[in-house]
Amino acid sequence: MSAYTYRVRSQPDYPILKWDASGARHLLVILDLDTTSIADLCDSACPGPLEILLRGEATHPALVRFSKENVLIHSFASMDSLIAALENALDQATMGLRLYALGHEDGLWKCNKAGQKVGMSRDEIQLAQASTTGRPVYCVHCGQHMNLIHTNITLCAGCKRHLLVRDHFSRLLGAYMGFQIDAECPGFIPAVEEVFP
Amino acid sequence: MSAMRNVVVSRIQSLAPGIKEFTFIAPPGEELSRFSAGSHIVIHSVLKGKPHHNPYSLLGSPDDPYWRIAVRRQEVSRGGTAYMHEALKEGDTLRVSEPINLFPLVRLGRKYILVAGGIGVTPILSHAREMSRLKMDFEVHYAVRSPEYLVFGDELRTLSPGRFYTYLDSAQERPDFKQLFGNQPLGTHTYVCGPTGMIDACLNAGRAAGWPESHLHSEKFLAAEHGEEFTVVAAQSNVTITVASDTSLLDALEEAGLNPPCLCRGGACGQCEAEVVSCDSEFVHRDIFLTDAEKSSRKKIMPCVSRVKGGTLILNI
Repeated sequence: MSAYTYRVRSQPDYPILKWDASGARHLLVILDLDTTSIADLCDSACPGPLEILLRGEATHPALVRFSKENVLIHSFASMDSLIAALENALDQATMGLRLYALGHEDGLWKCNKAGQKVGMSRDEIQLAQASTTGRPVYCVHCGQHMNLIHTNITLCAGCKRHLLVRDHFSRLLGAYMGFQIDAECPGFIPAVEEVFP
Repeated sequence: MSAMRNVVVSRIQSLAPGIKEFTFIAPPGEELSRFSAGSHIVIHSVLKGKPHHNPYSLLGSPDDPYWRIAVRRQEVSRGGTAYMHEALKEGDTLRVSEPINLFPLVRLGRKYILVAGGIGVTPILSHAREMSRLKMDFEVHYAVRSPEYLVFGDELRTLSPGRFYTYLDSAQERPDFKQLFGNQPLGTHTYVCGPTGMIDACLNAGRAAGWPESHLHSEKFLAAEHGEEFTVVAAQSNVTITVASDTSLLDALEEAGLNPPCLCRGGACGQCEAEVVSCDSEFVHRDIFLTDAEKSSRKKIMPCVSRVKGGTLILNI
């Protein structure tokens, strides 16, 4: 795989999560368990009351520290049920809350959208990519949304066109733009490579 | 400097002791530009040979074909507000800047808390009008010295029925900011304008309750204060000027024929920021634009409201 060095301005940059001490309460959404990323966050104690929304089992060893600190951890079996619970929590929450999300990009931007829906601003939300760089992709031809695309070219699940997965990212759609790769030379599809492991 | 234009004073009205409302219209054959809620204009005047520049929030509705401001006569006026109150007459022509907005409305919020102290009500009134027009969720908190200073109170009460709260200093009433900020839904924004002490108390209560800076909006204009006489050297222009004790650094630079960029002339916008080459005395920073770290670095100064305590200041302009 060749590393990407070219960046377009819309492509998100994900720093490591850091507790924001200016917040009064903290809500952490863990979309995929990834021990190294959580370790970065856990190096310091959370500066205020913390709750965790987790997709998966709360018995994961990476969460032992939180269990010891009596942090309330809510487990969800599916992404949809987690996002629904997040939307509900944010709707009830008061100013002073900071939202942190950790996981794959598709989930991160669903969390961001839930925050935006209740009027949260960029300085209240932190997103950190973990576990995979697989991309959410939006087909600009038929509007199909696909998730966890690992290759430079992918077949659209909607219109069956071969799409080039671009770096051009839409925060509103929470996805990278996919354009038909063989629009000018029908049938000419370059080699498909895994570039987003 | 922002674009300038002439306006004609069409109406002067007394609102409260020491507070007058001025309505401006365009000279014949011209039109006033529209403005967004939160905008201000800067009135330029020359009194006893000295230039004065005073910023005032526009309090009218952006759709009006005229501009309105309210001016409180400062107890210790350098001349600007005294001139407005005593010398200006209906029919006079004034030189003013086009509207500038350093206090714009963020439209993505879920709820808004507007806080006004005294004459700081002026931009709050324009925001309340806009929010009422757009059917936004908002409430107004208005603190004044005593009942006769509750200017525009009736209008604000009409704009935010059941959600207009007043606090009279004469009755020992004060807004309880801690309580106000403690239990607001996510997506709430606060806009505050008034005396420095009230703005600070309001913002600090918001920060203590965990509000991010992006949801705390404030505006205050400062007047340049008198100080010690000092010498300023404009290094690029190779000009040496003496800044008199009753003149601001920006006014002195302009009088010497230099034309440094500026907008608000009240220490708020950051346009006039000047790079300091060296200074052999103490800085008196009074702006609200530079960070504390920048102020103590001795590398930058805002000439509109800040100065130095004697000696020589060398600027890279």
